[in-house]
Amino acid sequence: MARVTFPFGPQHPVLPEAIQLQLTCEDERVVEVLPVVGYMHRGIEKAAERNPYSHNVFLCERICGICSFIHALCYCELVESMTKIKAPPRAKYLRTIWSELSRIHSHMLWLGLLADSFGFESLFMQCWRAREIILDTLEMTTGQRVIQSTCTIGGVRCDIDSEMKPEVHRQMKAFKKELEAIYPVFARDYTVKARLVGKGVLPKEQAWSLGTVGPVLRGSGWAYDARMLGYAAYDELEFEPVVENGCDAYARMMVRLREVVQSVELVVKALDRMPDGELAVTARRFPEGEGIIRVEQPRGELVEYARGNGTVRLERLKVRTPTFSNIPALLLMLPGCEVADVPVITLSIDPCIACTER
Amino acid sequence: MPLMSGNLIKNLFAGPVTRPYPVAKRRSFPRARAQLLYNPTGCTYCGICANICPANAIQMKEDRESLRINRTYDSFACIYCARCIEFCPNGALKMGVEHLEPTDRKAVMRTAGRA
Repeated sequence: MARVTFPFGPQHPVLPEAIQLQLTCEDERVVEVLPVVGYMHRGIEKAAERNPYSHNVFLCERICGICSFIHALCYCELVESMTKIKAPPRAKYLRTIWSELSRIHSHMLWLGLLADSFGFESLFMQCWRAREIILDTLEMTTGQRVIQSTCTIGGVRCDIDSEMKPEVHRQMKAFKKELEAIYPVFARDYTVKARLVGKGVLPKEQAWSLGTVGPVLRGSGWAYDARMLGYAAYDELEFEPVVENGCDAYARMMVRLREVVQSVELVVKALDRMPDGELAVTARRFPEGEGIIRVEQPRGELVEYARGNGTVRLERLKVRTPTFSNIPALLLMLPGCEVADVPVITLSIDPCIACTER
Repeated sequence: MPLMSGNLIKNLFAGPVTRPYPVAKRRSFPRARAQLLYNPTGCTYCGICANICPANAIQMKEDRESLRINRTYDSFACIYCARCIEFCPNGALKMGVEHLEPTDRKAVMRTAGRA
């Protein structure tokens, strides 16, 4: 059988961002995949070395447009550990709330894109309609829909006060109602199952040995989540990771779907338990020495490393994003599948190329 | 598909979620950071806002010939983080909640004060 090599991307209707996969096929079956990255490199790590360290919060937020708050949180916690300060308890709870709202809106966006990738347009629109409730909640509480700019070194910059709290509860209730209508469709619908069950299989051992993170790892049966480390207020919210054992695209979808439900509960729990107190403390020194931190993004574990020399600028900032760890697994999932399944399997790792290339 | 039927029937009788923008606009949230309002009469041209702006959207330059300080604000470079408002000692800056209208040309705002 003759082999044909053709490009999938970088401009493709199913890809939200630019990545190219060079697919080698025999008839309709993929036999080899080669990823081509580099379309979205912006030199953010280098730019971070030129900025004063406090400006980098806004730069780090712009690494990714979806999980921007979590990028800022990661950078702030890293600098806090290097400058030996601790965010006040109320700020920790607020960070948790906004992180979880970011996770919900990221997962809802992805669920919609997944539905779109297998041609379920109506479900796609309903996911995005439900996501609007979360974006409105973010705008109401922080002032911006997507890039919130509320996290700062030493705490947060705005509050969810007692007047706003009932409104957030109301929004969560409205979102839950929307989610109740969408959940069974993803979980039980014949069309969804036909396109996802048994596709893009990643065996449990290989998921670990390839270093996958996030829902890709948890969809292959590993109970590993960086939120278990207890940063922000997760150690006080009895957090348990969501795990599925299917090892296929359907299991990864179910992990994200169940995480949405879990995140709503975490937001409500954090709102109820949030203590009173100040919002931020001031750093009295410049970052010095080395620091490394891990936090959980919607796509998986985010690792940031920084080295400071006691001046206003960092010597080095290194960001390792989850998609970078998940691309090797994608190259294992694709060979053997049909060309028609490539979009669905590619989306099942939730690729964020802007994050990966920074 | 049967699992969707309840939703579909509901959607059939519900109104559209989208709005006919710009005829109908969404009401702004009171905390929305949509535009930076500047009051030149309250400004002392101290330059703090220009120093702490992470996007360099505010710039202040000294004109030694006319002994004036020229302040430039580029709303297209601004990331609306509201840091300048937090740091302004004179309350000359304020955040507006109404989003800027789309435009086909970019312009910066220039003001000048005594040095």
